[in-house]
Amino acid sequence: MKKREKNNVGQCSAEHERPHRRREVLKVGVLGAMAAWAGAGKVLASSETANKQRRYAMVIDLRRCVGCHACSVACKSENNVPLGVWRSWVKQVERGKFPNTQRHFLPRLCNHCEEPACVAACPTKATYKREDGIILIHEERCIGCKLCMVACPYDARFLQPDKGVVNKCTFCEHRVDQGVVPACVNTCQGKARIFGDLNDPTSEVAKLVAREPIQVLKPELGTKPRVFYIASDTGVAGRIRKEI
Amino acid sequence: MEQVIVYNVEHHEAMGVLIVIYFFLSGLGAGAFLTAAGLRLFGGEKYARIEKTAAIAAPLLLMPGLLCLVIELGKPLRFLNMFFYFNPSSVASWGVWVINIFLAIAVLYAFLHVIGKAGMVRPLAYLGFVFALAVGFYSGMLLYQMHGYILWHSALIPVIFLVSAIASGLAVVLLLSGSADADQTRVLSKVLAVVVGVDLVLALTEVLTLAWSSGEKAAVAEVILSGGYGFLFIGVYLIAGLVLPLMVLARQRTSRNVQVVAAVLVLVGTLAMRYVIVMGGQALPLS
Ligand code: SF4
Ligand code: SF4
Repeated sequence: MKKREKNNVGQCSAEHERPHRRREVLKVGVLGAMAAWAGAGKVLASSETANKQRRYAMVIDLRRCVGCHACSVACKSENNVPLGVWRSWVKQVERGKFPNTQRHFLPRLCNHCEEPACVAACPTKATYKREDGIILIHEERCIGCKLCMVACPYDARFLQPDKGVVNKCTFCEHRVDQGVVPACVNTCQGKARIFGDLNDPTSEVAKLVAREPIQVLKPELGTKPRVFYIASDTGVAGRIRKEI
Repeated sequence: MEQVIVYNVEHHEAMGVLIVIYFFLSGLGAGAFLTAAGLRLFGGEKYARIEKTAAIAAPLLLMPGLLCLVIELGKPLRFLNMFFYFNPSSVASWGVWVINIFLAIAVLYAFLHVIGKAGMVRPLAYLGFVFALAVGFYSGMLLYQMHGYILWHSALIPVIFLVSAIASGLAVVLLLSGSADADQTRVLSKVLAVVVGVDLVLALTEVLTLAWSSGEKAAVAEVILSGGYGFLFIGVYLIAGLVLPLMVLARQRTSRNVQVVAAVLVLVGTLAMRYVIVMGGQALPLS
């Protein structure tokens, strides 16, 4: 698959003004050389249909998830997420009695919904949907009214304690814009997380969403999540229930 | 089959007690204004004294409520952004205009009463009446928009919020008009009894439909009907805040003591209801 020039990892973050700047600077030096070696920053497959609007999405293949929480840790360090709040986490449920027992996992993050309830409820339009579908927050505009937090039916949002504004998963937009996959996808041990352009029929996410039996969380609410799960478990996907 | 949640992240409740107080006070303000404007439009000149009390109380109750709302923001000093940016799909975006226009009307209305120009207020009373209804209705609408929360996402919630706003507004005016003519406070008490009756029917409908459903709705019913929330909802709101005032007002409306007791009960009940709906509504985790 050909890589777009603009999305070259080697160029990453020339004009990046972010907390992870130190990392990025490191990457410019080291990553550029190691790009071929992969591993450090998986390159985002570029769209074959370059003129079509991109729509980023994630598939989480739970048959491959081992519940190691590496994604939660990678997210924390990549995005400087404060103590006590999480942009990404792995819900775990245990069912059955020994020896017939199993632990079920559900990696969680913002669903980057097609019809986001958070965007609809924000009184200042501080939270918005980007053209490529990523839901972001204008931090300098947000008044911290927390209405988006209650509007989101997935508990994806939190008030950033040190800033007084709302925060959540951004699909690592700063990485995606530089042509590398989000930190959680990059780090996933079982390669359970797949990220890409849903509008590009040749991308892995588009193929998986088309072919596999996928589920989204709370489909009945009409938010149209763009995080798809393969083989998600009823007991872990719903609200807390003591039994199923 | 039984299962155990081994690990999950639940983020903190987004709406706190200050929001409860804001809903309570803005309801009081809207209710007091509706009382004042209602007396002007349907009662006439003889109620001028009670009307004046109610007219002055309305903005004084509303303003501390709005202050609570601003303090609750993560970035209080940015509250003006609500006016600079408008999002038509956000109930709050409409609400902030509705409530501030209402505040302006209420202040002007009170001012005209204070300077003794009450004769000119009729057109303002019409306009304010509509905005006060909208303010009472909007708090429930704001909660209704949050469709992940089963307790809030019910068509009855905005109506219950409006009716209880009217009831608590009438109650506060009744409390404040101790020196008014006994005949007139009797009329107020009568209206209060009717509104409390309507509130009771609505609240029972809401809670019984929840209790008689299944799954998550039944789980929500269990939250608000048992434990501490249950005490507040059934004991303080339904029994002490609605049934008792209705009973005493049905028997005796002329005694000042009865009026005061009924009014205080209605106020406490309304506060308890707001608390249970806002906080109890968030008690069940979303994921
Ligand atoms: S998951 Fe929640 S925060 Fe993310 S886009 Fe959907 S509604 Fe908004
Ligand atoms: S907290 Fe910020 S982003 Fe969320 S609804 Fe309020 S202003 Fe919008």
